[in-house]
Amino acid sequence: MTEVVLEVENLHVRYGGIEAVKGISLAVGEGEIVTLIGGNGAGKTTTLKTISGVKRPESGQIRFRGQPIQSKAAHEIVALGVCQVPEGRKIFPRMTVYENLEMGAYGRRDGAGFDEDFERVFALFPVLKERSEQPGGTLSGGEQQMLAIGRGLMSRPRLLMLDEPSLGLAPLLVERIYELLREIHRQGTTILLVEQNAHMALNLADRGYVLESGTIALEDRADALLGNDAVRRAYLGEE
Amino acid sequence: MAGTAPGLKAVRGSIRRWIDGHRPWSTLLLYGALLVLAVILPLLPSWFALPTWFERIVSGSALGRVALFALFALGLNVVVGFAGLLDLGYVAFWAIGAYAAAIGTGAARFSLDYRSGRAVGVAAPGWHMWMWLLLAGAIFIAVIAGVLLGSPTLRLRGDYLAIVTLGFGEIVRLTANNLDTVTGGPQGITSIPHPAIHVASVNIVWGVLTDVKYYWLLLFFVVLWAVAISALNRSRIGRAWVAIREDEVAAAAMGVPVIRMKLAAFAIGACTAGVAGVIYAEQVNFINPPTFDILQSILILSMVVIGGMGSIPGAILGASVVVLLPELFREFDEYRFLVFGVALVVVMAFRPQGLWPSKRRALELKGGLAEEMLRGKEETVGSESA
Amino acid sequence: MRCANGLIDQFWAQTRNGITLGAIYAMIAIGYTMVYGVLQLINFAHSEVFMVATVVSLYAFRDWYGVTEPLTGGTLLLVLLITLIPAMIASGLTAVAIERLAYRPLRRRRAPRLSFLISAIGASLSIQYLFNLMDGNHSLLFIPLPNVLGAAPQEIPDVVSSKPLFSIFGTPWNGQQLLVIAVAVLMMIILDLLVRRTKLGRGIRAVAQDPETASLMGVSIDRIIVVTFLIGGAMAGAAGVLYSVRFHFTQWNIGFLPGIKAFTAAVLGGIGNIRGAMLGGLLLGMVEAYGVACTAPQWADVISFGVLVAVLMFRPTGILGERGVA
Repeated sequence: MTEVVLEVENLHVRYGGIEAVKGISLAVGEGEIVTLIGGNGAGKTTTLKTISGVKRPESGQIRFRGQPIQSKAAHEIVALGVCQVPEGRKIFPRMTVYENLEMGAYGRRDGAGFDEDFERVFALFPVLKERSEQPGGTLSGGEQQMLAIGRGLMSRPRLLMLDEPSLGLAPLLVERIYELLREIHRQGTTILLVEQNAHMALNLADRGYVLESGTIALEDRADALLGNDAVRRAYLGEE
Repeated sequence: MAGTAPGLKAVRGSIRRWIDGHRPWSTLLLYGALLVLAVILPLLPSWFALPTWFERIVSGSALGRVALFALFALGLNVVVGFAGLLDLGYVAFWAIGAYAAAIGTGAARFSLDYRSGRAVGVAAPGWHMWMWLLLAGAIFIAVIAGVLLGSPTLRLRGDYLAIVTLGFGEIVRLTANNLDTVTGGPQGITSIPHPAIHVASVNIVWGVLTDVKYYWLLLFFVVLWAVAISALNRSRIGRAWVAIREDEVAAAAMGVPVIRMKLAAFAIGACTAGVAGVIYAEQVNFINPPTFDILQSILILSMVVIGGMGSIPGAILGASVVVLLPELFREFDEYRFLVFGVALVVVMAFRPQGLWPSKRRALELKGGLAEEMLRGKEETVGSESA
Repeated sequence: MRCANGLIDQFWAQTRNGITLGAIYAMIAIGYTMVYGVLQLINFAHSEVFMVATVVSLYAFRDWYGVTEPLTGGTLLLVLLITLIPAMIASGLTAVAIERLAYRPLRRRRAPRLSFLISAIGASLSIQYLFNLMDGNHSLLFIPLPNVLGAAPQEIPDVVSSKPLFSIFGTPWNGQQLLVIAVAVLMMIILDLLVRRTKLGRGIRAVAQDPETASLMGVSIDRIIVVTFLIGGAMAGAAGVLYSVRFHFTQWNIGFLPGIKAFTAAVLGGIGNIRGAMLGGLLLGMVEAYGVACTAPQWADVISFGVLVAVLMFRPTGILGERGVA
């Protein structure tokens, strides 16, 4: 593995009264696409939220490029270059598409790279340019997902974390989103992808972790997981 | 109580264990002893030589005010502590009870002589026995007022309810002030008769210099109310209140009649204040609108909060603290609103369960993770951990 | 009939009074609505934020600049400016202090909503009585309190002449009324631009719409909350100066009525909605003024409270609807 970007060690997180994450360890290398797959309530989203600082861990370590970040606030973690595209897109509904993208660059101080990033996002998602003056809440589901990803890219993340980008989208749109993720990765962004759609995720990713009720049940190269019988039965819907 | 010495803690622990092991006898014994103490308190100065500061706080007038406010605090505790509704206009029901008494006894000499247009008024002899009837009447009127205010407003969010009740309290006071043909306006109503009991050979007469008798009368109501309210709190109604406090939507889904239960709390609170208002009016003989300003509502609220929301002994303790502190330190009187204002902030920040907490409520008020789980994002305010 | 006659006779005069009063309510209402937008919390202590500014005005006009008779022209503008600035700063800082001491500990603990309301009431009461006791004859924890205000009302000198300048429909307008409206309009335009056009404004709106996602975009929620209290407080501060120009007195409990009326205005316009607060303030001022024409001055407060109760009961989302700060 190349240089490690993100390292999670023995992470425990409580959600309400329940321990949702029970000792997860994982790592993401520079330039990799890593996916966390698993069913509902496996602890995928909680793990992502803890990495991005929205949730506090009970114990365990999270390091980004060697620097411990588990006690930093969310906005500080964004400033380091970790950006999460939240589940359910979470577009600011009463801001225009343009303003939503500006929000993505909120933590940044450099003015020059700003326009460049707009161009990059608009090149990836031409539809956003057409709609840039429209309120985010009026976009269709697929467009909102593109906006959410574009907004994430505006922070120039070194690590882009996506939570269920395929949720609630038609299969064709899912294909389209995944093509775009591949393109974003090709342009040099490391990706940590959380998905219930294991098939899509494993086809895209280099490596994968399978989460089951708060622990890691399996970890392997993505193609190996695709070939694994247990994974095929449990997550790929094959008999 | 972080700073308690370890020895004291051990003693307290063993007492607590003994009490836990001997419920309900130990509790009864404790409350019985407290009651006996409460009854004989005003007599102590005539039996023993006491330091003057102690004489001050066991004087009939001081104790009378403790008991009066304990009654108010018990009533507001049902609304705020049990049902979780912030009522900032509680004083309105006090005013309604007091004015009901003043008008009902005929002390309000509003014009009966229409031709001259001048206030003639009726003499008020022989009204003493009516006091008991009036009490019932005042309860009735206060409950009606509570239901009238409550039924449209209890659907509102908690913070809106607080403002509406505050507005209602002010409307009642301003109306009393402006409606001078009925309420005497800013001059108020004077010579409200004292109560009396004449049954068979029993003759008890309350009067101007009978503070201690008034204290016992009020104490009687405090005990009656404390017993009744705690029974209520342990009943199905009490459990419905818990459910509503924790999650109103879920409670409604499980078949708890949310609005009716809130209304019940409101009505009980209102009738308590009504009763206390009647006795208050008859004790002081004189009422006018400035007595019933918003500060009284907040003072009663601070009794409930300092004592411990949802705790019956807490409400009584809170009333004692808030009334007696200025009594103990005369110079303190001017500072009391500042001190109790700060106390509200400090109690909420560091000891939200109050001085004599109810076990159940303490868990809820401390907030935290369980809260987040139960109530979701909506109910917690601007959370960012750092 | 008395009502109709009163209304007809006094229509234009009461329109003028309503707009002037409404402009002040609107500026205070902005603080309620902005804080509600980001925290879903009614800052009950906001009326004290307003009160602090009237005290600053008292000192500025009476002591610092020694105003003895109404000013005109450049002097007037200068005096107003160097009164508005410290008043807005003092009010803004008071609001931030309230957030720090009364709300933040509860936010950290994720306390139930009831706790916030009680803490707010406590903060309001303590600030009022702190000013009440600051008369030079009291001390707190053995530290003598300075003579700042005390219990009695204090007269604020007239800075702007109350002589009529011109008439509209036979109703005279004076400089005080004009000034209140001009400053209020200016402040609201600045605020509107700030919220809609700047990065800070985007941060405030983002936190109002979705705090968690805002923090994922690199917005520091704590910072935005502080800024919101600061801006809302500063607007109430400007309102306090205008109130002092118009009504010439202050007292420790002066905030209560304008405070609750401004809250009514905020709800009337749709709480959380800044333009709604402006509209609601104006509307409430007019309703109150016409109501007075219709009844008698001593019913003004009852009318406002009546509007409050009616709005909350029949249209709690207000005229423009509840939204995030937008």
